[in-house]
This record gives sequence, C-alpha cells and structure tokens, in this order.
Amino acid sequence: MRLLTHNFLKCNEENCTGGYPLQIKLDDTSSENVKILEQDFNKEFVKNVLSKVDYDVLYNTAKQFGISLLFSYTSQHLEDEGFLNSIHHALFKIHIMEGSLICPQCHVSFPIKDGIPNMLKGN
Amino acid sequence: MTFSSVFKINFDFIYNDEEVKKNVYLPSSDTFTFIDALENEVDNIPSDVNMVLEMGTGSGYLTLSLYELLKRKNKNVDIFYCVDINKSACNCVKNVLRKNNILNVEIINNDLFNNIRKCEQFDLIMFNPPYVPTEQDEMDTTNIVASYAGGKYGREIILNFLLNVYGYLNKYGVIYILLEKNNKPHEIMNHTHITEKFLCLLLKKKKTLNETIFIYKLKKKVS
Repeated sequence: MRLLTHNFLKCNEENCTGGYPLQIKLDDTSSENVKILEQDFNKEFVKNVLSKVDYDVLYNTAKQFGISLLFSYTSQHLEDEGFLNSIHHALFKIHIMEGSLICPQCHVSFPIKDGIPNMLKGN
Repeated sequence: MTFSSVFKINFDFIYNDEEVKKNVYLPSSDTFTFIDALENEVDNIPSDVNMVLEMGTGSGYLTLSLYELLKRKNKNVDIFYCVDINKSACNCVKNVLRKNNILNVEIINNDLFNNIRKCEQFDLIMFNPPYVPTEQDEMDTTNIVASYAGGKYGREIILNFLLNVYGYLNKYGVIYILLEKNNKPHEIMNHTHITEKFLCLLLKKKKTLNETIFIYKLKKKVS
C-alpha cells in the first residue's frame, strides 16, 4: 500500500466522524513490513496528484517514514524537479506491506497484509 | 530472421490456481464483451492516463486486458487501483501482477467506495458489476456470491455505484460500466440522477443465449 492510497483512505464505520487520517502501524513481527520500490517519474502526474491529495497528511505521514518534505509549497515549487521528486518518492515508492490502519476516532483497526489493506467492516 | 514481440499478459494463474477457481469470478462472456468495447474505445483514451480505477476487479482479467491494450498502443497509465470486496479476488490480482512483473497497481479489499475519500482523483473508472437479480439473502456477502448478486432487478450494487461515483471522477474523466437487460438499463440511464450529472453513450450491445449485455460510457456534464 502506497502513501498515495493512505491519503485517500478514511474510516467509514457507523457514527465515526473524524476518521481521517488513519494512523499507520507497522507489524514489528514481520521481517519486511515496508518496501521501497522504484517507479518511473512522471512530472505531470506528480503535479496532478498533488492537487488531489491532502498535503498536510502526506507531510506528516512521510515524516513517519523518514522523509522530510517541504512543510508547504507554492506554485514555483511545482516546477522544481527536486521538490517533485521528493513527492514522487513519498507517494509512490514507499510500500506498506504488513501492518494496520487505525482510526484515530473510533480505534477500529484495518489490517494490511502483503500490501493490501482490508477496509471491510468487522474484519 | 526477426522476431517482433507483442506485449502479452500471462493469465495462467487465473486458470490454474485452485483457490481462484473456487472463490473468484472467472472471465466469462460478459468480461470479453467489455474488452471488445474497450478495444473499440482505445483510440479515445489519452496517451497519458494518470489514475484508473476498476471497481470489482475480480480475477484482474479486465484491468490487465486494458493494461495490455494500452501498452500495445504505447499509451501510459501511471497507476491502477483495483478494488474488490472478495479477499480471494484481491489475492488473485496480486499474484497475476507478480507473475507479470507489474508494479504500478494498488489493490484495496473494500466494499465499493466506502472508506475512500472523494477527491476527483480518477481519470477512468470501470465496473463490470454484479448484475444478476437475486434475493436479499444473497446480498451482504464478501465471497464469490458478491461477484454476481445484484439484488432487486440485479441493480442494487449498480445504483449504489452510480449514485456515488461522481466525486471520484475528475472533470474530463470517463466511466465504463456494464449492465444487463434485467437491470433495465434504459431506466437507469434516463433517470434524472444520472442525466443531470452525466452524458451517457451506449458503446455496445450484445445478445447471448441467456443475457443481453450493454456497455455504457459516461462522462461528466461540464458547463
């Protein structure tokens, strides 16, 4: 599961408002709970996706994985390949393989197994 | 002697794995009809598509067929999203991707759009839905039954999808959806909830022994 996906996921349990962002908890018993995988850089795609994601959530989540993004950006940064590359890395190259997503509001836990999050109720 | 190698997906896993054969909807005539329609549409698909979503991916046959189609035309998709309520289907997709060394796909074990934020993030959304009319007791499953059980007029899941999809599609995005005659497709596509938001085009109609399949293309009505 990429951080792009994490950015789009929220808690949808009944009566849970404020279930975003979900907290990522890695499975410490797993030998490879996070993977870094290469992905082709497409400048236009990164710029487009930036307009869709919640940047604050991305900033905070990337920090959890040792990536220090710019705290905020301007339209000038959108032409800076260094900046776009850091976004590309954070959104697409970090893969959460084993862990869980925890709702900060109702504390429900959604497991991530082999990179696939299970968002079903009562899983 | 020269060889030209055409890009080809290896779908063997779908047909050889016991768990898949038992628990996942295998490609069938509705799947192939959908692919025919996409083949005819491929020139309308931009050469650079950012994000594609397949709702109800099942075995992954449709997404990977689109992947193959686009690759052969030198068109690029940055990332595919595959969503399915059936965990066995999600695992099947994962395995078929691995066997084909395809990495730019995200899989989510999820019930339609629940838990996904509306960010107008997708350029192309496809759905070959459960379309068989069934009783209520076949609804609310997460196994292979979910691949066909459509409830009343076989369209409960279809309607849920259509009433929610708008906020997930970007301004010039496109939806491809399959409907069957029992769903009363004309009634659905002429309903104000649809006509006020979307332009609808019937791409293909195919009659088989037991079914008549309709493939529709929807675009947002932009002022």
